[in-house]
Amino acid sequence: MGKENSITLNDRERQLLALKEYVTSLAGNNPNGKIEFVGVNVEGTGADKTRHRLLKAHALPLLAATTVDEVVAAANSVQTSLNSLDIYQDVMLSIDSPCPGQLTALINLPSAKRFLAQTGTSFGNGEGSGYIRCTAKNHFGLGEIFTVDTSVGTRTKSATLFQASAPLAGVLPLRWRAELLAYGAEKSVDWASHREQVRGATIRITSPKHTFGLDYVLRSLYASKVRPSATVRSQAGHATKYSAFYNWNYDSRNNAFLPTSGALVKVCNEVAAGDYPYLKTCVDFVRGFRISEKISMSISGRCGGLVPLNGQSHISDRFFLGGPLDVRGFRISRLGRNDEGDAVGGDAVMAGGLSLYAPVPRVSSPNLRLHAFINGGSVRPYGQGVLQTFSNMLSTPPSIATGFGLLYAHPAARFELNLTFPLTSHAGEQSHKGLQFGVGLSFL
Amino acid sequence: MRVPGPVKAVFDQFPLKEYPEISNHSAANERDVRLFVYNVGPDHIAMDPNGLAVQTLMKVLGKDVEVALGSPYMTKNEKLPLLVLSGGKRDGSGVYSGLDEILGFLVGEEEKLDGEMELFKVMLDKWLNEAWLATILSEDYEKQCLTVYSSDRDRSQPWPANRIITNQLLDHLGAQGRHRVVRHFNSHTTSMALHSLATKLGDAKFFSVGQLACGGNLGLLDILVYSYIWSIFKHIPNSALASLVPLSLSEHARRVHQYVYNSSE
Repeated sequence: MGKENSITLNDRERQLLALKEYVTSLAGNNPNGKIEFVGVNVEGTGADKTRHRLLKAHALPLLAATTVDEVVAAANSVQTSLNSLDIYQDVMLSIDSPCPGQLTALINLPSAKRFLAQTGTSFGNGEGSGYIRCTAKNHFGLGEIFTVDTSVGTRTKSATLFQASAPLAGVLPLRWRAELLAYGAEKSVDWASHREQVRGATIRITSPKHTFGLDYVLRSLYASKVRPSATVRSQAGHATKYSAFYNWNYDSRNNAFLPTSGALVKVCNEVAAGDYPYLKTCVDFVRGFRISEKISMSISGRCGGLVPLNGQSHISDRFFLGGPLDVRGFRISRLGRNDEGDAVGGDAVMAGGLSLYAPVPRVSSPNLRLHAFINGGSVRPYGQGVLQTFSNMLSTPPSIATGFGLLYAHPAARFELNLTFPLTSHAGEQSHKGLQFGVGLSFL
Repeated sequence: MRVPGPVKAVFDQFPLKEYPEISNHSAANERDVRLFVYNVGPDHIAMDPNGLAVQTLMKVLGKDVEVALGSPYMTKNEKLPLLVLSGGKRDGSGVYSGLDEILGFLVGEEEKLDGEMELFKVMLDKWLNEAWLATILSEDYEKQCLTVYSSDRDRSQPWPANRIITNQLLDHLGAQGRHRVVRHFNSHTTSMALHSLATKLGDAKFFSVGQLACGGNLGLLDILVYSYIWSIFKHIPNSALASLVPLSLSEHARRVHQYVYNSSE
């Protein structure tokens, strides 16, 4: 789901400004005057059902605030952290002053639906799916959420996920959560003539920026052709993986689908043992710019490497490029090595893209844009060491495509319809000259 | 569909420049003829009857082959053994899966099977194969079954992966053959089949049926019967099935093994 767009953020900024003026007035119109909270009350259906310890941990920043700026920051932080628990409908916080220099806060916590069953369809990332999702929230008063999700799709033939999640307030800073996931899925990997079944479990702790976790997964790879490539043959069957991972995420974009300011940086690191041990790291970034009042631009890139520790990497762990969501002008995952007709990906990846967005003449919607792009990338197998692998990559030209089209930034996903023109490619890669349609949440 | 002129003119403004193919290590690794089987013993001989039959046939025919561990999921039809000829071809030709397809390729190169051989082949498929699977799939022989049909790597996976793998393997083996294998075989018909083979062998050293051009005294029937009897005595020697095997067939199996692999056990 996309972030709030710029209008929502401006609303938020206006709200905070109004709050600051209000708190200043409560402090006797002295922005530097000392003030303190003498009480924080909570009410609402959600408050009754949540344990006192959790609420206290979230309200604590208010009690520590002693200046106007601190009060505003604390009020914002408390509201954000309580909303992020995802167990309340819409957290409201009001501040009053019973006597000069003293404040009280009233937090209204209407409970979100404690049991929810949903069915629906979704699309994106090159596939469509139907799902059933059941969620149980805060039944033990710990802010815990249990989710069971099952879906069937065009590429991910079936997927089931059980997730238990609870906040770690009091143990770690606010907004950290502990999560336990058990999952199973079967997906069709058309570009490498096999289907893959995964069954696994993950335990992780997350915050908006950091995720640490441990994963255990059994991957079963089944050839979907009578005569698949040597790569698929050699990896068919079962393989287990145990891994420890750390992901870092920074997002200051004003809009996830059409950024005109801010940046997204995602860093993934993984150490894996098992049948195909490896070290892996990957960096993704997107930076949005406003060129003029109506024209904006984004620059994005991806760089990653995987070091196989026993000589060969598993095809599911490798990097793949190509398709409407990353390197447009190529078919999905069809960049890089080709083994007897199967795209087998690579252990090192570099990709970049530049997009220009302009309004469509005589269309007032800010979400519909003309779009021009140039993007390219390379995926390569691991050579004799990391340096040699990247030097090989830099010494051979990347596959590049350009094009233009229409883009629609719907709040749920970004839609693109482009006319693509591949400029360079390598023999065996599958370029796509013509119309290409993409729906997704993140694009290169 | 004809591309309109103006659109074609736009496309022509962006000619595609193509560079050479990115090198592919994995394809280069398959230089030799390889036979993928479920598992091999310390002597590098396939453990299951079908894998053993193909390996033996190739040795008798003087074809060099590297026997490697495989998975039934290497092909869509989930059949092992799998024979991959040297040099990866993009169209996938040169890959043969399952006993019948490999025999068709190997023996087809030599000569067509005669009617008598066809008859014995059907009998082996119908009675001996199903008796073998029914025995080794029974709970008493689960350990032997896993030894014959799964690699050390699969067997050493931790719980619960090993349980999932084992159940899937048993399902896969149970679905082999013409019908889903029942856990009890008909000992009367199996005994009759074995005794008709013993009668056919008589006092001769070899059946010499399904004669191969460079097989010497050995015929295809010798190899197929040997692969089952050898596997029975090697992996389930104390089973009810083993007790049905006439002495002459067990001696025949030892003879073939010594003849082909130049060793006796």
